[in-house]
Amino acid sequence: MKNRLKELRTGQGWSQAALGDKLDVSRQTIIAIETGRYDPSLPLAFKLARLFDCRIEDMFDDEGEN
Amino acid sequence: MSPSTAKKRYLTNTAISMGVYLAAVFGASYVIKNFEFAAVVKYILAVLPALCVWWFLWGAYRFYQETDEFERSRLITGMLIGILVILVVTSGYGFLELLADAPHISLFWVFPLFCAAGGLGRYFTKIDGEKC
Repeated sequence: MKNRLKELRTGQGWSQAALGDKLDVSRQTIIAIETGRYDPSLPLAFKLARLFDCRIEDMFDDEGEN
Repeated sequence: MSPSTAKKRYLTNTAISMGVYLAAVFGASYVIKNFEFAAVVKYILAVLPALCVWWFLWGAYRFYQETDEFERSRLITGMLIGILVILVVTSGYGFLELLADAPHISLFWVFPLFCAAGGLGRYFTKIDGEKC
């Protein structure tokens, strides 16, 4: 699933490791989400949306997904 | 516990348990072949490597509980690939032994094959870190 995580993260000036620490996930997890290789669970998506003060659908784009 | 701490603990546990496993395999076979023991002692010595397998699997289960969802998914994928390879190879070779007189291979090889296939599965689910 496409997402704006990298854009939002770099906008805050955070590294992948720093974002991982804020969410209590590994840097590998952040990389996997940013590159679209892993879609986060609903609880993690909510944590991300709260952290960046936006809606889940503003961060993730399921267009083109089956 | 943070996912990175959980991973360090898992990798340390894996390295130590596998090191002791190898020592137990070679140690037990050397001792049993070169010294005389009562049958019960032989059974205990022979089962020592299996305890290390349990030790390793317990560490994997603990990692499953302590890490984050993506690492958990990688662990499960690796183990699933290991199980699939084991089932295909052992059932296939079992039929070869049963029906085509293929030479017998010890069940001892199941665990090393599971580890190799599982490790390969984890490798293929690895995410290459891009620089920030």
